[in-house]
Amino acid sequence: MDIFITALPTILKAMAMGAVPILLASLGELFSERGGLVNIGLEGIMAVGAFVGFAVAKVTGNLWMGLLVAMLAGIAVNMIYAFCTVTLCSDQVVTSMAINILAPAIALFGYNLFVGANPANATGEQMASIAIPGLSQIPFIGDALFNQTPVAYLAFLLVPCVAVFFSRFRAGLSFRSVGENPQAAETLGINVVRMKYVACVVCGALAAAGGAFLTLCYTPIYTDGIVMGRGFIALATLIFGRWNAFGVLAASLLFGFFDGTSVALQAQFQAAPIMFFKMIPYVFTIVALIFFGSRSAGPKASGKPYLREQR
Amino acid sequence: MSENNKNQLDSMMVSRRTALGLGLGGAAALALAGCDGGGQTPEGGDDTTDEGGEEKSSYRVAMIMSGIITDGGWDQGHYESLQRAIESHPSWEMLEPKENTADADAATAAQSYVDMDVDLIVGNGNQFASTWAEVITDAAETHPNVHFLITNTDPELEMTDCEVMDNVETVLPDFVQTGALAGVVAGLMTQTKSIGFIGGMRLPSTTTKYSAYLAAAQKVNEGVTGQYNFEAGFTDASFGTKLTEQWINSNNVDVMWGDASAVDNGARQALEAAGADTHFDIAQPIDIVGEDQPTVITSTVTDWMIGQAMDEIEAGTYGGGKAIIGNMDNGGVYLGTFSDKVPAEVQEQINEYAEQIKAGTFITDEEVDAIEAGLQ
Repeated sequence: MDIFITALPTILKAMAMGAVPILLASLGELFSERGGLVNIGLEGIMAVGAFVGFAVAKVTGNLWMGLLVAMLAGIAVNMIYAFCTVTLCSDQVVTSMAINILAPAIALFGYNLFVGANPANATGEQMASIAIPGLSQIPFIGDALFNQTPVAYLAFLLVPCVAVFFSRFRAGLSFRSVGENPQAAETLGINVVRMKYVACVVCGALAAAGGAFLTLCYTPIYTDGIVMGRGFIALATLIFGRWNAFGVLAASLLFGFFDGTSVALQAQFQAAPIMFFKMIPYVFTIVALIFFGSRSAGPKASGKPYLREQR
Repeated sequence: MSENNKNQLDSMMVSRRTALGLGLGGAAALALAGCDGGGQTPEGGDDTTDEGGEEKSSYRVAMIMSGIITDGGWDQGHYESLQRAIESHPSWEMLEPKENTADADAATAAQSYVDMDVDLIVGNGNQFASTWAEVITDAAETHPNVHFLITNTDPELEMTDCEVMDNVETVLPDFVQTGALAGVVAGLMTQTKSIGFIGGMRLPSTTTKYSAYLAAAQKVNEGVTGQYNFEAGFTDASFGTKLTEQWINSNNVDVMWGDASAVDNGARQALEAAGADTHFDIAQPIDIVGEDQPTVITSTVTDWMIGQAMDEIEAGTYGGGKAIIGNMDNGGVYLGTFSDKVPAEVQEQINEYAEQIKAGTFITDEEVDAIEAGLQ
């Protein structure tokens, strides 16, 4: 117990940091699924965002420029998915899996060109944390939760904004109707195809921002495989969070907590089988999906291709 | 046409489009993966060898790796070793390294170089010992001029699948010397008497390095304790950050040595956040001391002895499944440059201990084995 209390501040810090990329990608997926599109290509989009953010920030010296261009790159990659699934009505799962293969290859190709030409490019820029006066001095939790990068604060602020958007704004309600019954939405004058493209734009931007967080705020390097399955975890947190922004936040934090706990246990019990501790966050994910994984709570038309003339 | 038939026709058209779209997407992905540094030079060098075995005037060497040459660690270290060997062997030409080679593709990649009659094919790591076994055996008969060099591999333990060893050698760095060099630096630089080590995979080489590291640190600074993780992988930098933060906060670790490529980068971020003037990192296996690495105080550098392999091939003495031991005598293992955070008197002490390590009088195998036996 003493070990756990000693490690708690570090676990909480790891929780907050680890939750941000998952939260951003998961909120992006929320838009996508509310628009009726299951996009399991988050992993690939995050990889592109991580590389582009890293490279642009290094070249320009401007971290915000890195984040912005990373989001644009994420949108560009997700437009491939949007064109295939919305315009061509291809299978959403198969298409997004293709994105998961294509996008990291693009990122790695770019990285080899970028760093191969100049090895000094291997280490990029890193965003500094900003401590919130007063709150960051709270014992145990202050530094962990209130000494974050600006991107992390923005990610957490995005949660109530998204929740209000889907519950109070006409556009948010239109999104939801497209995800539930696009034919009915069309009869109400909602441009379903446009809505789906907008969903893809938001999903691409937020997933790429999640990836960029890894290279701009976590560690200033890019490596092949840096996303480490966070894109798939984001999908699980969306289901665990019941397609609700606050639910997604809670699920992301919970995953971050178990991730931080697994590291703390690895640090303290070196002689124990490390792989057991590494499994903890993923075991939690599976257990959560068993209990909360019913898709009945999700948008009814999610994953189904929309043919305007089809009844 | 009935409504049903029309719908069926529509869905068929969509399927064709879908198939076309997926096909193009898949082709683009494969093309990009293929472009990823995997380019090979199709045309050979000035190979003037004749069948009678006359001395050659030019040779070609190829390298196959599971990572990329800019990973800042394992594969970059191999690539830099190859570059050094090429610089000192002007009759050798380097083909474009084959990066990101999955285990499943390793044999095919090697066979493609065998078909090109490349004189030396280097595999970066012991995973190639088993995946190349058949290629090596076949090549011994069909392409006797092709030679294989597999790094970080003990031929007696790890090449039992290989039926013919006439055309293959391996490289084994002296892990005890490597670990001892890092341990001396860590022992002399730690203020808290608490040092850490991250390994990517639990291999005998990893545990031996750590054991020698801790033994050496304790020898120069009694009471030093060590924290370790041998299964951190090689890609998740954020894990290195979190683990090192945990050790700093819970165990007062102030010097780290890593053997886990990108994960080491993450560890350096945690050290920097804790204070780059009080928390230090020893890099490996390339020399990366510089202004952009404020926590790195020196590096344990490994040269993979490719130059020696080239010499043996030129002399016709290569093969037989020998292991080339890289150590401090032949330049296979050495300390890199020091940062100015290592005081001059400490540098002198380190150099004195390094001479003892080189002479084999600093730590004994028994001392290292005693620590290794205690690792679970």
